[in-house]
This record gives sequence, structure tokens and C-alpha cells, in this order.
Amino acid sequence: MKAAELLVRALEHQGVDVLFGYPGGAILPFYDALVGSRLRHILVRHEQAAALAADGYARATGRVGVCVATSGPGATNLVTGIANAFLDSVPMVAITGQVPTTLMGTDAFQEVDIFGLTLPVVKHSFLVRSADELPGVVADAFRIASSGRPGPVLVDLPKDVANVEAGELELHDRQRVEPAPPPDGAALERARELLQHCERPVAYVGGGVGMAGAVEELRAFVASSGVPVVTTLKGIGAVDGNDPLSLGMLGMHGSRAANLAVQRSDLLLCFGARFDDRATGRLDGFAPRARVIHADVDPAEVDKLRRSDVALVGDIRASLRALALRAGTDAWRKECLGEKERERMPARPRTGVDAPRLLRALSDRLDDRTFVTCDVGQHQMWVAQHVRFRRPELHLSSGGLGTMGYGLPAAIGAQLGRPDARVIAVSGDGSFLMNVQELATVRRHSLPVKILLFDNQRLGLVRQWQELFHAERYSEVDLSDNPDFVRVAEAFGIPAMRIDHDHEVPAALDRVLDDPGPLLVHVMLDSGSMCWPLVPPNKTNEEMMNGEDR
Amino acid sequence: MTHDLKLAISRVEGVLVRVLGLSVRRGYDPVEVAAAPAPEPGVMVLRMRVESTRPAEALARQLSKLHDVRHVEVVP
Ligand SMILES: Cc1ncc(C[n+]2csc(CCOP(=O)(O)OP(=O)(O)O)c2C)c(N)n1
Repeated sequence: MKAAELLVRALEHQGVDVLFGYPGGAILPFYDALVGSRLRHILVRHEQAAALAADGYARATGRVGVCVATSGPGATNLVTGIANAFLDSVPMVAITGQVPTTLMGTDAFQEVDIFGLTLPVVKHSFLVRSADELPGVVADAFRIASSGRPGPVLVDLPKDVANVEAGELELHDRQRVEPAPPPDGAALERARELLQHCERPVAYVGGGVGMAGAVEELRAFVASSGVPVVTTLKGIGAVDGNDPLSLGMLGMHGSRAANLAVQRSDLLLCFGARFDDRATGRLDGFAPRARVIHADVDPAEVDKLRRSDVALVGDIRASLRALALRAGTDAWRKECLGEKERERMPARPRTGVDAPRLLRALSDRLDDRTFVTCDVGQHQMWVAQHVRFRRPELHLSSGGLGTMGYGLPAAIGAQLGRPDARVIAVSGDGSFLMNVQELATVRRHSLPVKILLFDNQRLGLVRQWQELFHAERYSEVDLSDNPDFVRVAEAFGIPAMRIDHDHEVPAALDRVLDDPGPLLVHVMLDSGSMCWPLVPPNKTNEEMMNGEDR
Repeated sequence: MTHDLKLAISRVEGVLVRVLGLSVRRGYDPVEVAAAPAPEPGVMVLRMRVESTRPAEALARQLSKLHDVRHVEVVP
């Protein structure tokens, strides 16, 4: 058996069912070995989409996403998707073909040092120099990708190694991912003490809760402690969006109630979040009166940006269980819920469809088996603000990297990982064209993905910043010569419709929810659309603009 | 401020670049570096002095997450 076939067997042995990729010279031995294998290979139309689809697959299923590309341009095209997985801690194994070892280091055709190029954005990487390393490398790659704080792992395989006769090397079994150890007992005791003596506690929840499988523990903690909860973009859904104690997302486009609660709190319980600048606003003014309990599986996150009073490094579930004590005053709860009740929907736009209200209407009709992916921009923030998610994995958004072009490939990955679920991609007219070629993949596999394309004929979020912070000097944000998206979709064989007015929304949503196959809904928005609230750069989170003061 | 660190690292593909690259990226500038084989086979000892305004412990925690780093200590 050639090493390339051994790699295919090893992937099967790891339980891989679907992988996303694109062939080429240096990876030919692997593609040869794929013929007749149990693996389902999805041919994307750009390698970036392979990595982003693997990311979507991983988030939707909780399993490791796998993508494949050839050397050189194939490998460099993966990089954005690998970085996306790195910054959002998504378990992924990326396999790249490499030029033969004899040619490495000679600037051979399609030679790129992808091992070196990806060092800053991988959890780990392997360059396979001999076939007998392969079984161990594959098993390690999957274990490293999914253990602790997950992340992407690169496996670079030179073509001559792939072609070596490897005989019948024994495959390594899937390695058990050890649960993180519980946090230090004394630290837990100190945390309980802080909790018992606080008046205005807030739980600040990030993506780490969902990844640790700690959703039930979080909900039990909230129910018994009565502590109000704010989430980061990636924490959305960890607490049920309909829970009265859920104050919504904090940060730059966070809710007023969430930001004010954090700013006024005297104890911040951070669970699986990392004090990212989009969440904290100006860091030195973030939660200025709060002590901090920081629970995270990653020791390097503790004290990275904000000093904690107690660090709970290890299994978040154990921390949540230990802290499930009634805490904070009723006056505080009332104050937080009062701010929440005072939240208003943003003013209606002058023309076109009201996107926030469309998303509210969609949200009211969603079940807990509908995944929503987004691209990056105003529409992404509207999804975060207006769709109530019941589980964190139902919301697929590129948080750390903010990758325009994420939405469609992620939806493809999610749909292939969860064939029975409904998957809706919410996109913007700018982002959509970054991976529009994947409509061909949707078509080929008849994936019933629904696309809500919000078209404001602008790079909306950038336009908004130019309006507000660059004195309306608009620079390269006009997309008013967009193609006719309905015809674009139809050219790919995907049914499509366009809506221009709010009264057309219910019928469009009927189709989004009920059509058995794929569908693109081209939604026309006002070209001056704004996303509120907004915390301006270098301001603290209580200095929100809401559009009314303009 | 300068910090001294001593690491035990696996002698594998790219390990030195990985360690030094991470240090630079995280805001620690290596000013003195020495690596030598450890008595244990497959292991190297890496001593480095870095300059940074950030604390040594934060770098040590980042480095200890690397798969090929077996041990990190901040030398007082
Ligand atoms: C790959 C990439 N390039 C550039 C950006 C910077 N950027 C952030 S939002 C945005 C505009 C997005 O426009 P659109 O997709 O139409 O969404 P809208 O804001 O209009 O909803 C841009 C250019 C980015 N996030 N990703």
C-alpha cells in the first residue's frame, strides 16, 4: 500500500466521513487513493472554501473538519480558512500536498513553505518526511486539533513520501481526548467567596462554554445563581436567547443592557471568553469596578489582557458547578432587567426591507435544529443582535478573523455535517461575492441551503465607519453596480427571488423555511443602512451611539 | 525589561522557528539565544533572553502550549 492510501485509511480510521478539497499535482497520490474509499470528498471551487467549509462542518457537528489542497497556490488559498479556525478555536486538520523532498528548498514549481507560512495560525503542524510517521502523525493531528482549546493542525505531505510503498503499517486508533482537569480547589473556594460577597455580578460568557460542552452547566448555574448573563459573539446561544436573565451580546455592537450591566458590575465571572477588544471596548475602562473571576481551559488567556482576581484554569464545567450559588441582590437583577426592557428596535430604514425586523420575524419561526451562518459586516451584527439562538453551535459566525466569504462555505459544511438540519446563510452583497463560486457546490450536491442576501449596494459596515468617523469621505465602498443576484443564482441552477419591501417578507420567509431545495432570497436594503448600537473606537462600552442622537 | 527563559524542547521539524516566532509575535524580542542537545535523546535545551514590556510569565504560558515544548521555566 502506498503512503497516500495509508493516509486515506488513517482518515477513515479516525472516523472522518466528509472532507473538502481541491486536487493538483503534488496531492495527486492522495486523490488517486481516494478512488473507492469510504470518504466523501466534496470538490469546492476555491481552496479557501474548503477550509471554511471544514470549519462550518466542525462547528455544526463538534467533530474535526478536514480539508485538502495541493502545494503552492492550493495551500496558500487555504491559509485564510486555517487562520479563521485558529482565531475561533475550531478543530480542523488541513492536509496539503508538497513538492518531493528532493526538490524542497529549491523554489520548485508550486513550492511554498506552507509549514512556515502557517506557523502563526496553527495549533500544531507536521511535515511528513517518511511514510512510517504517517499513522502516528494522523492520530496526533486529530487529537491535538480537538483537545483542550481546539484549533487547526496542518499535515504537509511531500509527493515522494506519498508515493512510497508503505506496506501494511498499523494504523493508530482514535485517541481519546482527555477532559481538561478541574481547576484548583483553593481557587474555587476563593471564587465562591467573591461570589457570596458581591452585589452586582455578571456572567460574561464566550465560545469556550459551548466548546467545553458546558451549556447545561451554564444554564444550571444561571438558574440557581440568578446572575445576569452577557455573551460574546461566539458565546451567543450558550444561554438560551429567550432566558429573561440573558442580556444579549456585549461589546462594540452589543446591547445597551449587556454593556451597562458589565460596566456597573462589581464581579465579572468570565467563562470561556478572552477579553477581545471588540467585546471590551477601551480596555482600561472595561468593567471598571469589577473584580474578575476568569474560568478558561487555556492558561495563557488568564491575565493576558485583564488581571483576574481568581483564575480557574481547567474544565469550565467544574467551575460552573462549584459556583452555582445564589448571588447578587434582587435590586441588581431588577436594574438589569429594567435596562433590557428599555431596549428599542432601531429606527426603520428610509427605503427597502427592514433587515433587523426581518431577522426578528425569522427568529420567531426558528426551531432548535436550524443553523444560521453569516458573513461579515452589518448583517452579521444584525444576526447576532436579533436572532435568538437556543444553542451556541446553531450560530456560525467568523468572530476572531472576521472573514468576509465565510457564510456560504460554512453553510455548505454545516449542511453536509448535519444533512437533516435546516441551514440558512445570511450574507451581504460584498461578502457574498468573495465565495460566490460555491453556488456550484451547493448545486452539485443539491444542498438545501437557503441564502438571505442583504443587498445595501455598499460595503455597509465600512461605509458606516466612513460616515461616522471619516467625515463622510466615502472611499471604495460603493457596490451600486452589483450583478443581478437572482440571475447569478439562476445561472448556477439555484432558484432565487427578490424582495424590495417589508410586506414581501412573510412570503419569502415561508419559502426559506419550507422549500425543500436551495434558495437565494435577494433582499434589497437602504443604501444608507446603519447598524446600532455602536461603541466608537477607543471609547468605553457605556459610550454607545444609537443613531437617535444624530 | 529583559527576561531569561529556559526551555526543554523536542528536536523536531521547525521547533526553533516555532518557539522564536511565537516569542516575537507575542511581543518579546529575543536578544540572546542558545540551543544545545540535552542528555535525553531527541530533546534540546533552549536558553533565551528576551526584551519586552510584557511579563515573562505570559510568554512562558504561551510557550508551554506548544506541542513541542516539554518544559518552560522563567529564570529569575
Ligand atoms: C476578507 C475581508 N476583507 C475585508 C474586510 C473588511 N470589512 C469588514 S465588513 C466589510 C463590509 C462588508 O460588506 P457586506 O458584505 O456587503 O456587508 P454589510 O456590512 O453591507 O452588511 C468589510 C469590507 C473583511 N472583514 N474581510
